[in-house]
Amino acid sequence: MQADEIIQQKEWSELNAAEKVLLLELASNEQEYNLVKKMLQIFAEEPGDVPMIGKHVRHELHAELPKSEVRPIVFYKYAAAAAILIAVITGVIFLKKDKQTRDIVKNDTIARPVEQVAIRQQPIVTAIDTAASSPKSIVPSQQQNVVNLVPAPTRVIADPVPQEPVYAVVSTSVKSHDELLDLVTEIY
Amino acid sequence: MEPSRPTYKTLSDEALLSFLQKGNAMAFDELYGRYGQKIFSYFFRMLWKDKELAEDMTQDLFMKLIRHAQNFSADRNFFTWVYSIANNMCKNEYRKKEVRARHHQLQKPQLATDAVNPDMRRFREAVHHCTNELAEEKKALYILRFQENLTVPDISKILNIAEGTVKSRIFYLLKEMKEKLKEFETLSIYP
Repeated sequence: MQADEIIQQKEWSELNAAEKVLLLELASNEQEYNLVKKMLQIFAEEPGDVPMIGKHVRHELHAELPKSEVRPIVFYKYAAAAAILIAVITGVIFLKKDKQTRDIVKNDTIARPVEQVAIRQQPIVTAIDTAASSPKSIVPSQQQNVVNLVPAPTRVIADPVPQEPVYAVVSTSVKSHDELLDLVTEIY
Repeated sequence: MEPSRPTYKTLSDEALLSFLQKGNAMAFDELYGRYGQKIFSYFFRMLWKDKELAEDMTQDLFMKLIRHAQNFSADRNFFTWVYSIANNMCKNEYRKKEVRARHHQLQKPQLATDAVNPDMRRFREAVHHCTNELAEEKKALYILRFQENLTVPDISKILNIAEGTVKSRIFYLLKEMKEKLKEFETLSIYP
């Protein structure tokens, strides 16, 4: 216990020998001891003299506070709702596309009549070809075909690929119906 | 996560300081509620009982807390840290000689009007006069020990001196004041 604590808590008559020795330099008798005791009491009374701090100090300090990093909860709610909405829309679009893709593959795996894909198997000599070439160069067997093809529709006349027209349009490597089917299956 | 308002009352000073760094107004309010008046009282007593000056100093101290909260070392006690800052600010103020001189002239003796016994009133005035006259270091020790009722270890941390030194300084401060008030030994000052 410190000297001041002893004086505050005890009367002179309550002091033991060791305490009296400790306080000897400060209070060698009861009169001095009581003077110091009263002095300490007055010390303790003095805080009552302090006024209250002005409220303006708090207000001015509030203005100095850095802007809070806390964001409103509403912001997070909107962000979460938007994220969910985007996820749902993306999911729906993906599922639809996936279904379409599967349908195409299924249809293509079913064997179809060759006639539907390969429109023409025989080489055709168009009217333009006929007009451009010399009549002398046409062999009699071909000449018969030319006669037959004169009234053919314009679309057929304009066809630039007389040999295997449909397969060539898809791929130059496709030569037959089976190869075309394989290619389409591979793609999908 | 942000604690609710009542939760701030349960938080330690150090935890509140970490929220204050982020600009949390409620953490500031709680810290100010704990220390605002105490620090103001310390400044008021240390700085010649000048209310305006004490308010300015309190404001400056809290501004330092807000701006330099990151400088607080986690292994320190916030309470002693704040008081040590206040004490250093007082030291700087005492160094301004012109300010000290001005306050010294303006200072009026404390009137103990509530004392019934005339001897007691004189004694009180003499005690106040003695405490007002104390040098800066002794005054800080006197306020921290006898008015703030702080422990020797806390005072040691605030004033940055050894505990043994604090004990001996308290002892000799009492002795010095007793010598100054010796004339009241025989007077009937005890009601």
